[in-house]
Amino acid sequence: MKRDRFTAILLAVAVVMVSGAAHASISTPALRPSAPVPSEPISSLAVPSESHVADPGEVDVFVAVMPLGMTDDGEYLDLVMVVEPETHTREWYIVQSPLGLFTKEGMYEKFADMYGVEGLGLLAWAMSRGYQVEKKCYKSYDWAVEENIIGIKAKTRIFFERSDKNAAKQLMQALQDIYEREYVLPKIAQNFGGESGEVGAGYWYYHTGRIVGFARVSEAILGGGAEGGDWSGWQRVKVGTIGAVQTGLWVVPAAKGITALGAKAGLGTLGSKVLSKQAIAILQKDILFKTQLKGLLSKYGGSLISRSANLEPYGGPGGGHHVPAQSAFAGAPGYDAGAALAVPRAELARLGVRHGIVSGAQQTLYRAFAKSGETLTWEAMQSIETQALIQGGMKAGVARATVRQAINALQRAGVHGPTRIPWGG
Amino acid sequence: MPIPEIEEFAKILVEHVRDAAIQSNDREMNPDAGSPVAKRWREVAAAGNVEALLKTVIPDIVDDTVFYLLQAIDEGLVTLSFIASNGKVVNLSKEGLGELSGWYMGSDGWRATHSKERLADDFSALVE
Repeated sequence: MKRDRFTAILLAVAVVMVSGAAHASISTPALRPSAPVPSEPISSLAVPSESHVADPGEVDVFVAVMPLGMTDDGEYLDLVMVVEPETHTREWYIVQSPLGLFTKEGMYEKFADMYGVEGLGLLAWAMSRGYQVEKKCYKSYDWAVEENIIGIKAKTRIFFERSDKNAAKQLMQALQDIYEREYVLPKIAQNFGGESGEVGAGYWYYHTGRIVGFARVSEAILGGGAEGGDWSGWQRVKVGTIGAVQTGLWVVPAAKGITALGAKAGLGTLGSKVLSKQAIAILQKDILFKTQLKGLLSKYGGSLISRSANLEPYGGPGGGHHVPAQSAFAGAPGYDAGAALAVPRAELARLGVRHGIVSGAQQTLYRAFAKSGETLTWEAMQSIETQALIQGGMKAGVARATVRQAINALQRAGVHGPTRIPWGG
Repeated sequence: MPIPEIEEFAKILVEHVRDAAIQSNDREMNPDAGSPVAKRWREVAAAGNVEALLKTVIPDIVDDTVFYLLQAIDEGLVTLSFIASNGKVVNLSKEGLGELSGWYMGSDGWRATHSKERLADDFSALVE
């Protein structure tokens, strides 16, 4: 019964907050003069020891809610006043905030519901970088990133919006901000520093102010090319388009049924890019996700996209392993062996890949393919190159993503396909 | 003291062949290393027979070292020309198409064709 009474108060509070009215009519069991749950009397406010209400059934009450703040333990408290209109009997309570105050557990559950495995991947990525999520009491903003703390505003007094769902939205916004600052923008910066010039500038120029030290960004947009020459309007459009496509590739969604950028609302797809076994392992350690993540992983199965190995132009200082084999494109229009992507030597080492085994596997597989008499296609190359990387010790998911990214880059560069079978004689 | 050009060659040779091979083989000692070479070494090492272990690792290390020399040629770090017995001069980097290291390592490659010493074929299972 006590619980019912408290629930009635909460409902009344909710109605007031949503409607803006100071009066609410609710259907409730009898409000009895007993201590509400949870509550603490406030002696300084002369809380009446006795109060009474009308008969069971339809009861009118007036409700006023005032925030008291947050305790040292992080508990948010409200002062709630309930007034019985006929007798003007007042009751005061201090309660844990009933206004949709989210819990971390509830927020995580809602987050998983809303953003699925991609969102969880993004969250896991942030966690793997040392971020933690905490409830905060902000006045002016809904979330903030303070050092390694993602602060989510605990509640608002106006529109009853501090639900788990709302908190999940704020969390996603914070994660997007972190992802952009720590992954996307550095990636863009890398592009600007490369020989390929200003690819990406068109799409991201509005972030210029956030990329410290990249005056060339504005140069690219406003007319200065990589070599200092003026760019035509068409060139700028082209660069912008490439940048947009490239950005799309960064956020290509992972889950089944999601086939295009934007098919999933917002930037929830960002997480797909950063899913890794490490991230998943971190998630799995978080008790809050155990059940949900298990279900999600089962649901999406093998469609998770692993992060590609870091790829750099072969002609850069890193050298490394051409993906796919450069000799496949001898004489191919648009193919530049120096600009083609490769897994740098340092990246091969980082991933524990034995280069000699990869090359040997390439030779063996391409030789076998040549004997089949079939025409070498992008698809066949994808298969062979992936097998070769795996044979060398690269994880299968990473290998698939790496080859896919490298082939996509060639296709974007205008290479129509292989001209010969490597090691084909 | 060799001429500067030979010193340049020496530097590349040591950095990109010798050191690269040592680093590559050091990585195979990592318990998490996933290449077939690492797995083979772990398996033999677990048996505790030093002679068997050496017989296993010696050709692997030699092959890896030769691989890095050929890779340096493939990458164009070292541009070498070979004078064949018929007198023809072949630019290995250019005419090798970047495939020399693969030709050496592959299942039916140069090792399998020309070597008289023991050889671990890590690729035959790929095309069975």
